[in-house]
Amino acid sequence: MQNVTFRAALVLLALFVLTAVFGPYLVEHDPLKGSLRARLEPPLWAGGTSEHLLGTDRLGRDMLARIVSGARISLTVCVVVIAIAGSIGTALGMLSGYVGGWLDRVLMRLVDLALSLPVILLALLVGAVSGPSFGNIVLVISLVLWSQYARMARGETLRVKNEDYVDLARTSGLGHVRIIARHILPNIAPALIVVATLQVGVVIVLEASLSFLGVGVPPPNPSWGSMVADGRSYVVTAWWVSLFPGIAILLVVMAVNIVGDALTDRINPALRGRTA
Amino acid sequence: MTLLSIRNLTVRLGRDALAPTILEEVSLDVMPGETLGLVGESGSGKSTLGMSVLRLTPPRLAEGTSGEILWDGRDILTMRGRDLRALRGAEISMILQDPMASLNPVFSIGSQLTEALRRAGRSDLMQAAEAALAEVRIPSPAERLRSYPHQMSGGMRQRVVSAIGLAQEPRLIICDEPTTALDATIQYQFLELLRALQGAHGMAMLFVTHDFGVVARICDRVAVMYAGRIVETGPVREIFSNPRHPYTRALLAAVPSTSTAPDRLPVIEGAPPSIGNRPGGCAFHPRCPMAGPDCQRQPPMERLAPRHEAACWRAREEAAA
Amino acid sequence: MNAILSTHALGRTFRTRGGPLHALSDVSIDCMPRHSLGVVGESGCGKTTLNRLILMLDTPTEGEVRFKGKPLRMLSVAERRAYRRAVQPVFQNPYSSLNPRLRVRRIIREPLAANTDLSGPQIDARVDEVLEAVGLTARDANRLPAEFSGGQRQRIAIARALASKPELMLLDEPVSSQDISIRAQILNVLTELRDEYGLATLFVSHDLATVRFMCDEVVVIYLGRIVEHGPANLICTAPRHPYTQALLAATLPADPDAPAMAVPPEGEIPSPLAPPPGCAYHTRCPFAREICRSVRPRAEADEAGGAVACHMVNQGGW
Repeated sequence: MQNVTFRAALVLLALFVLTAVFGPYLVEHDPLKGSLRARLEPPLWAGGTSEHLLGTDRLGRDMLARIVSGARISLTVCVVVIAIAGSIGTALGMLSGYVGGWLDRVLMRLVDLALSLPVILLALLVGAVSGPSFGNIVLVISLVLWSQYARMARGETLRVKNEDYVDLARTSGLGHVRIIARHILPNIAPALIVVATLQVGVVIVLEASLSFLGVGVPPPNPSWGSMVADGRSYVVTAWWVSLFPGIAILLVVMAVNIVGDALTDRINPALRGRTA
Repeated sequence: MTLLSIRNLTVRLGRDALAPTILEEVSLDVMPGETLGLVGESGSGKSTLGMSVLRLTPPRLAEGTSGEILWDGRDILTMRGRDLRALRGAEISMILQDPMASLNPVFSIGSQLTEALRRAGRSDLMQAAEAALAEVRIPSPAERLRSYPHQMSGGMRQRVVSAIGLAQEPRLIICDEPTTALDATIQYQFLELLRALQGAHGMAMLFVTHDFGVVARICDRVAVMYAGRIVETGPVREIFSNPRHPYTRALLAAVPSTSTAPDRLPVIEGAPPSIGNRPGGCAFHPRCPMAGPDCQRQPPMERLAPRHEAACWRAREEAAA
Repeated sequence: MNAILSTHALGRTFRTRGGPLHALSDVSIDCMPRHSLGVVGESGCGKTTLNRLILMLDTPTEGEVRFKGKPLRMLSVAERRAYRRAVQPVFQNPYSSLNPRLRVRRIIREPLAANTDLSGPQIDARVDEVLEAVGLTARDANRLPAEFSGGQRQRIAIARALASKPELMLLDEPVSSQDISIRAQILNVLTELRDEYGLATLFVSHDLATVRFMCDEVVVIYLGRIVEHGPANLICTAPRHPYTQALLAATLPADPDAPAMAVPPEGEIPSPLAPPPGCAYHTRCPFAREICRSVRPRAEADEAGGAVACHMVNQGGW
């Protein structure tokens, strides 16, 4: 049973990635261009036409095309944020655990600070000052999420640092950089990959929330979050405008979390529940 | 007359009849008041055997358990919740390698000990607890009652575990490598203590260990295990002076001693097989210097002397030079 | 003959919240070429600290370690490389001493690549050679540690140490985590290699029986100080310090008719945070007198080439 869920989640996740990468080439409509004559058309099974399978939004843009290209935006934000937050967080966390002492104390207070940042307020602030932009959203999310990598990397580094092979490398006169690259990083990587997997869901939800609030990916780019926001005023009359991107968010985040949990169990059961 | 009688105990990794076996057809008797040593290397199944007696094996192993473990003529393997709880602690108790696994870190020694004494129906709890600590030779027992497990050394904790284990006057104590984590001088003291406690309370002990020195010091009888089976059993003196199974012989010869310094230690080639990779027939045959074609078949347990048995086709032959 | 490695009044005091912890005090030992020295003691006696000081994983607070007469801290860069080649450790737990992510070849290469000027092919040839020397095969070089049993892993760890053609192997409880049948195999491999390559060994252990098998000479440590040293056969048959006597009697022989200890040691090993004054063993010693409680006994050499730090022995008190 658990295996079935895991496989279904894996298939869904693969579908999401494939859609994000190849989808925009396959749909016929332009996600940014609509025709006001075809505005708020319902999906095919609710009285619509086969022209717009999932209906259209208030500007007559094809919902299917917008969801498909929204997937690409979500994935891009995920990849960029996780690359930035992951590399900065891992580097600082390893440094903190490896060097110890006052550097460790300073860095860990910084982590506490990052964890206490109210993401949404911060994003609203940045948005208010410089307007919504792709760069801002990546910056704000990374600013908060690096700390989780730092924590995990520090804890794992402390564990691995005590292994005898690290002492052996030191007695062979290896430098710190080579010890970290050869002995520490490869052994803490599995735990960090788990954090990254679990964060995909967090990033998608954050991006969607910020876009919903209008400080995320700027219009007319079709972010799932801003699409849900767009449909807010038509929920009763044109439910599909909000519902479909909402379902997309739900499915992808659920799939990511199921896969992430399974990975955690497989790689390191002791870590379960330690990541947000 | 037998206190505990294990009959054809087989433990598999799960219900499936083809699942790898941890214990195969183990039969063993423990008499009242005796100390039976269970010796073997890692993967021999000795700890699983100890755990099975109290039905403390993980669920997957419990599912794959068959045979009988008779206690007072009743099969422990078919006992239900209440009977099983009445058995644990009151009739049979346990001392594990890591005393912290048996002690609760958030309660004081006194409260853990008085709880066990209350179950034993004692009313003068504090005096009884103090006496119990004194009996396991813990210095200044009255003060120690207020200590927490982490404030004590490994040797002292192991004494507390024994005091708790003895509180309900069990008839059998299963000791699973209780001295492996202790230093030599502390181990010596603890073994002396166990002998003294046995003299005073008359309980039997099933002593799981890998150390022949410990066996020689404390056991009356010994069962040697290899790859999930008992390969030889007999009185300690008999096993040490006249081992008949080639594995027992080789193992005894491989232990270094303080009294001689040979150039080489006699060795058993290879490593003990892991669970799931055990060879067919006599599991020891790939490593055995005496192995022949007949060792492809599992040898039965054969009686060599009134209380000495071995499972080997060559048990009556002398070892090749 | 000159010692490969020697320690001179070596000491290490850690500053802790509970006050100074004297992990090791006034330890002087010599590791002579082709000689095997054993260091015996129970947990907390300072064995690990001694190892770490010798391996430059820690620095002494008193005294010094010398390599061929020169203090470690005075070694030039080239001498330091030579020292790292000459002194090679094997640790207790082969599950911790082999990086699970590296193939055996890379594990054994590490000290060669760091401290020798061998070329790539020369290193590869050396890896194959040492694997065969410890009873494995050249093919094993391409496997990961997880594919080996505990005994085989310890052989890999020994091969790694052997690769740099050391003069001294520092063996830190190399068999205590192994099964009995494997233990004998590893001990034989170690003695064979020692004899074949003319190595000196410093064998650290809690077990007098393995020390008797492995060593010519033994140093017994209690609470960070040497209490007795002497030839292995004497230490293991006629120990003179009461602590060595207790340790020997507690080393249970596989013989049910062995005599019980005449006087077992009392009590626990005291905390190194508050070592007893005078002779540190007096709290457990059945022979302790007034002088033992106040005056620390000095080690006095005897005619057998050993030395004992005990008032009662040295004054012929019993």
